[in-house]
Amino acid sequence: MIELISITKVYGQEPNTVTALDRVTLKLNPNELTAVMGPSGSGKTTLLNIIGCLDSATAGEYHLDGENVAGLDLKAKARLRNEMFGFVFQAFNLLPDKTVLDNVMIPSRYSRRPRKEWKPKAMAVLEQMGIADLALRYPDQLSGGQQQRVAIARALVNDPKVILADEPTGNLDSATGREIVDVLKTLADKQGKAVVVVTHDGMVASQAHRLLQMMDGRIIDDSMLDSSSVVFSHPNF
Amino acid sequence: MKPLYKTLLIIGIAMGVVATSLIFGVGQGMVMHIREKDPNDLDIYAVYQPTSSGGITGMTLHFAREIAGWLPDDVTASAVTFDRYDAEVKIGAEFFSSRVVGVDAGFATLFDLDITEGRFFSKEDQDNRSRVCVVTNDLVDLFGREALSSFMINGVEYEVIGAVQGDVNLASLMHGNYSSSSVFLPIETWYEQFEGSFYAGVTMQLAVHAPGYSKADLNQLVSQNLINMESAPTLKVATPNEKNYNAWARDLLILAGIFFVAFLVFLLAGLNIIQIASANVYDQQRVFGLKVALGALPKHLAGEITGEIVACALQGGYLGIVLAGIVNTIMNHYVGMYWAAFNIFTAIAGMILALLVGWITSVIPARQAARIDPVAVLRQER
Repeated sequence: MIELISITKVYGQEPNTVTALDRVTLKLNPNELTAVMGPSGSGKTTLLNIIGCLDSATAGEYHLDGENVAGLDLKAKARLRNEMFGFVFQAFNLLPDKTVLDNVMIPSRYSRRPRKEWKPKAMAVLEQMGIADLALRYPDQLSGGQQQRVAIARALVNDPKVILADEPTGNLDSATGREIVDVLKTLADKQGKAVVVVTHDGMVASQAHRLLQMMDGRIIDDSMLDSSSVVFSHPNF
Repeated sequence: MKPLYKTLLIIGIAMGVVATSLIFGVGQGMVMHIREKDPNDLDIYAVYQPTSSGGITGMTLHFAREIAGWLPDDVTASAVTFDRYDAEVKIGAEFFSSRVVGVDAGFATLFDLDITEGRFFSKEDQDNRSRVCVVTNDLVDLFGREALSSFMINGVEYEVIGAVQGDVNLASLMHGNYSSSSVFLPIETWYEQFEGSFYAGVTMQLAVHAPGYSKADLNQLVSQNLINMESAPTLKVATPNEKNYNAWARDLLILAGIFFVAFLVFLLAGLNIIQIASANVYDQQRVFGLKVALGALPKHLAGEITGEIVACALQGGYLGIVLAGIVNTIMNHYVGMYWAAFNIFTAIAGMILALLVGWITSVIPARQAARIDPVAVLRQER
């Protein structure tokens, strides 16, 4: 579904350049929860941003369902972000002056979906997340776990094929974090989504089907995990 | 948009609407003012000599008669003297400050004055130098018919033969200052009465009623006759209110000043809107960055920002119209009723301009929002 071939991302201008990604080659598949681990500055978030078309690679090829994403214009990339990807952030990034329902409907506003379908679809994903009864509340009336569920509902509202989560449990306690990881794993297992989770947390990574370890902009290890795998957080992470 | 920015925007736009309403109000006032000066529907003109011997504005009665002879048959004319405000008028036992004017017999007809009592004096009265006069109806109301039966000007007794009513001020023409207490004498009698005074022998102007003739027509007519004269004087044709030209020019200057100030306020309001909207974009760049990440295009952000500003413009517009109405009312109360017109058209024009300002000033903040890099702003969470 997603294929990155020798992707390189360089920030800044010569001679003050920083190579965030260095010839990264990777395939992401449906029904797969992939955890990306690595120390700060290893290129995890840059990788996530390039996969999600928020950022562009300096070099390399990026194929999404067989189409070269590098050649797409601003509008086409926005369309991809809206329809193909769902984003989940560490800080939830919910709009505080909007209700849960309105927050979940935001991606629909920028989609080709007819307006009359916005609300039913938003309610459906809230139902799926088990928080439909919170639809008319405001974010500051919710717990951290509930807010992240709202963020996941917002990510799912346009039926994306890929969920990109950047430290989704970073602001949560371990029990709530585990619940959130379970939700993400269910999306991969039962809904066929390709889920990519950037994390520092070994517990989160242990739940993944696949673990990518990064260092200095490179993938230094790409391994499949089973239910008995234990991943430890790196002390420097 | 944050409530603070929203409130500031509404105030800013309200200021804009007040300013634009003032601009339109004053503009309408100016148009109305200019229309008041439009002589087309009056058909009344004054022919006068700007300077004559001794630097006195006016002409001799003889010359006034000669000019009247140049005019076509369908044009009527009356020689008119300046107003003798210093004449000593005694009505009954009282002395009264009144303006005494010498005119021809056709004066009342020319200025469409109603004869409410008696008659206007005749050509015969003029030829006979009769000691008769016509007063305004206001004087009759003030002193009563009986008191007016004993009427003296500078110690000479006059018979009041009639009273008139109408727009006497209109008859002021170029230099007179007639009022509702004017007294009209046959022009020859007036000359006799005031002979020996500084102005003796000088008629101020020839009042002309020329339906269907323009000022240019009359100018041409007068010029054609002046060509044949030896050492011809300069003559001018004027419309009645041109006598107020200086005052009018002063009013115009004041109105232009108000217009300018209102325009400055209008510009400041526009800049204010841009500043506030830009501050809002800066403050909410993470929100805009998030929306970009979720698939928003620059046009979506521009639409949202424009929508918010236009919504504020509507609210500020309502507030501004109310404020503008109050400002206009106060202004008209103290300055004069023609100064700033405030009506539904002013309000609509103010609203439309406010919406346009809202729309135009949203362009810059919308561009700023469109340039936001979602990666950069979302990274700030770390």
